[in-house]
Amino acid sequence: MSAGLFYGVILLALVGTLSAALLYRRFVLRPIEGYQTLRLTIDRALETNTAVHVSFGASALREESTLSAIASAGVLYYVAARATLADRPTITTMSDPVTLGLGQDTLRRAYRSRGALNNYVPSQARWYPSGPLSLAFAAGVGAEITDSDVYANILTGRFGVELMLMAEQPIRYNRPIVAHSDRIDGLAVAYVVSETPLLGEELYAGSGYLDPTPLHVGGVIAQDLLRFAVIIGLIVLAAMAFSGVVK
Amino acid sequence: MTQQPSRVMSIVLALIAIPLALITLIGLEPLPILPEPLRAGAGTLSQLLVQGITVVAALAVIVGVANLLHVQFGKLRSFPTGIYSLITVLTFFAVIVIHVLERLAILKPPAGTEGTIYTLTLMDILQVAIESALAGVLAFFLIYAAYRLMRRRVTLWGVLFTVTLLIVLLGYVPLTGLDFLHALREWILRVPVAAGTRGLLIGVAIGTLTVGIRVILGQDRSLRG
Repeated sequence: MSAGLFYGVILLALVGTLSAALLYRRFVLRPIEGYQTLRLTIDRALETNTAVHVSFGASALREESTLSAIASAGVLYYVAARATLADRPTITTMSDPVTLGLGQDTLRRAYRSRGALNNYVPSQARWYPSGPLSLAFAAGVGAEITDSDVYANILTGRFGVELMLMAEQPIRYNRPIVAHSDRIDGLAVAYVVSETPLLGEELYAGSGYLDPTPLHVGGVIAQDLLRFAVIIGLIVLAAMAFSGVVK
Repeated sequence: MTQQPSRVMSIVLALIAIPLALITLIGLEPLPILPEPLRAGAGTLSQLLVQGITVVAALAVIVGVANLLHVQFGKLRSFPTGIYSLITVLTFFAVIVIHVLERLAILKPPAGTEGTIYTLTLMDILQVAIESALAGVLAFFLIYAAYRLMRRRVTLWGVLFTVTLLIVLLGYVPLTGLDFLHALREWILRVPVAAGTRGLLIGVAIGTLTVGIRVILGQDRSLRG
């Protein structure tokens, strides 16, 4: 990609975000079922004295999945803050050791925001190493879900087909899963295992729904604007190709 | 009483993160309108930052192992699930001992081989074999999940998903008389699947971009203390 186009797209996103942030009260975000379920699921876990589990999967800070790790951390913050007073702590798992630091920090900040820092234990964030196929990680997380009596599983970040292995126990006991993956194979599995999957860019819109500051809502609107820009671009290019203007 | 983070700390974090993010961006994708010395400087600094992250990642593995052992030791008290943790801990120390013995040449490799053959063999036997077995089981889990999907919610999209799955699976069956299914499978993979995949990936890319903007603006929660 040429540098001009690269920075042009970034500038468009920046201007879109800031403009929409200024006018954010005028916009109403469309409901996303995954986020609506998330609230109810956490409350249900609190009522039934069971734990909530958030997994980052293979999302890794420093790699191309960095931003999916950051977006997942936003979801973890929301979940942990809402479930601070639960008897069973919110746990989080990941296969990247650098992301372990992000998970611990996010949990710590969530507990601090509710004045419950004393309840926070660093080992609520748990690292499971992944082998060549990430299945070792999935097996570890699967065991964790059983051991910790997890009611709700929020699996957001980078997963492949190993997502199925993690979802096996919740499916068997009919427990809710909110699943997402930034990989296509993982996304296909997420669609099958979850009644309310987060598809494609919906994870990245999470901050606008869970932490609706003007800039976060602006970011979600910019996301939609960019999507429309891509659709229009594709249609125009297709029309030009059909008419023989471009080959 | 809630313990809110210091506002000053949030500003300091943002002041560190925003310039570094911009420098890395310019270093990795040089902006032509900038003067050459500035581009070169940004390039050098961004390389340095990326190398620094690699060192941090290497150190983070040690932290990860400590976390893993801490969690597994904590689970040892519970029965029967503690057995799995016991196996994990014992395997961890056994592999380390074997590796050290190999390195010190106390445990010598068999004739005709060299290097840490025992550790690698253990890796092959345990991890690769078990992971392959798990991968084999995944197909059955997937079919079970597809069945559950249809039982839970019979929607147009669920039916479409299942019918497509059946066509693609049957399309791989090497029987005569199913040629139309082979052709249909090829078309499904080439047209709707490829288009859907691209659509989803474009969506993910746009989402990634907007989260990146949030980070550059210092508005991500991790920078807000």
